[in-house]
Amino acid sequence: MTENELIAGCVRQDRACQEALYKRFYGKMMGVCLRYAKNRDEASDMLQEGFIKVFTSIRNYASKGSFEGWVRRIVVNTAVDHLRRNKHEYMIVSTVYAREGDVPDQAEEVDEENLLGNLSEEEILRAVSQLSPAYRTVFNLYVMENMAHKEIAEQLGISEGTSKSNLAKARFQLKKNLVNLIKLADGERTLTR
Amino acid sequence: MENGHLHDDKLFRAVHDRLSDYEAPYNGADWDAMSRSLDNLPKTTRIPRMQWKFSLNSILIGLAVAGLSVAGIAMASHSGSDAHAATQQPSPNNEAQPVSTSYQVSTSPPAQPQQNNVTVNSAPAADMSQPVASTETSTPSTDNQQLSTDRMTDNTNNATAAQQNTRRQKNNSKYRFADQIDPKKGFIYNTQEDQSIQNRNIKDPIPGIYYDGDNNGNAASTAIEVHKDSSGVKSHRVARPVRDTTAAGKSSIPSGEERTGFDQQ
Repeated sequence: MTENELIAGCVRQDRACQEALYKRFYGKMMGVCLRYAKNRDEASDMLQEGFIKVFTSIRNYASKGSFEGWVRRIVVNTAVDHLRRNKHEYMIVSTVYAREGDVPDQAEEVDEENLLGNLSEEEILRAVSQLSPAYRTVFNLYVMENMAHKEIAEQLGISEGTSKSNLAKARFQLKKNLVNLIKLADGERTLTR
Repeated sequence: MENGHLHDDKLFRAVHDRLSDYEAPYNGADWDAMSRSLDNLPKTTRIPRMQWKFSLNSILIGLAVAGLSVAGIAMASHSGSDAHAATQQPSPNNEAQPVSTSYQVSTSPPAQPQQNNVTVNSAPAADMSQPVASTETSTPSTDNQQLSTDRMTDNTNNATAAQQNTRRQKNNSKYRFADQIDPKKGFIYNTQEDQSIQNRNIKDPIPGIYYDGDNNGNAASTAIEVHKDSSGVKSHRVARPVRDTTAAGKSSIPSGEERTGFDQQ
């Protein structure tokens, strides 16, 4: 079935068309949700919430731009809303992150361009999910969604300066997480030898 | 690269390149949960019909409200016209006496015309104090009813004529004010300006002293005295007279003609 046929079927609330559409966009949209969520379960909740919005508002799709981009925008907004609703929980998580004190005094000299060479996408996603929710959200919106700090500030209800600060901290923490993952992976490889 | 603002950040560019096209493996359990959620959603296909129902109900309610409003306005205007008609025509119930109550029925040929004791007001409505002596003989009840109806009609016609005359007088009058306002009948007496009063000021100016003021609003040093002689009404300036505050002096000044504020001695 073509995309237009699927859309028309979803407008009619045809369950088969809905399932087909869900399967067609599941992989990419779940990848989006895994970047915003702290674990798989939370990502599944975000994805389900996002697709419900897609199916209930699909009649409003005006065929301007790609359908995938339209679905992606809904899923991203749903993920951000999910994080904002559970802000109190993430505040505690942020505190935990800060209390652990696992922040190096100096940035390690790492070849950033080749840092990800031996890591899988799932490991990179795990490194991203280990960021605090505030850092992770700004990172995803800036790096993955190509939003400017002004747009990020408006969407999250923060200042532009906070957005830039969070991004810098996210970068620092992400690099550290990736380095730790590499070390962990090397240690496992060493153990398995 | 899509996002140009990452061109100088190697780490961000590397993460973006690795994750932008990532697709998670499909998990059938997620669709099962999704399907259950969709089953619990309200059917959107029913919504348009419900919208139509709501629209139709809204239309019917609007029509009902409009109809009631029109009916209310019609009733109000009709009752208003009834009230106006009531001011023109006296209610027959108030004036007409029930004829049958005191009508003397005589079966035998009367030797002389009988005087009815019934006072039926057949005079104009403005003058209700004159009883009318009827010389008509008594008849059986059906004729009595017809007679009462005829008399009520006569009363109404006479009252209408009288009211019309009054109305003509009112229309010719320059001033019309209501003396009394009856809640049911409306204006029932109208004040008429006495023409003699109107004419007097024109033809017979009242002689007297008229005080004047200067441009600054102060009392002028002179006053205007008006008097009438054989040659007509004349006026001339005189020195401001001392105000006569005695009773005689006050009585010589017609009421309503006194000027106050300028009689400073």
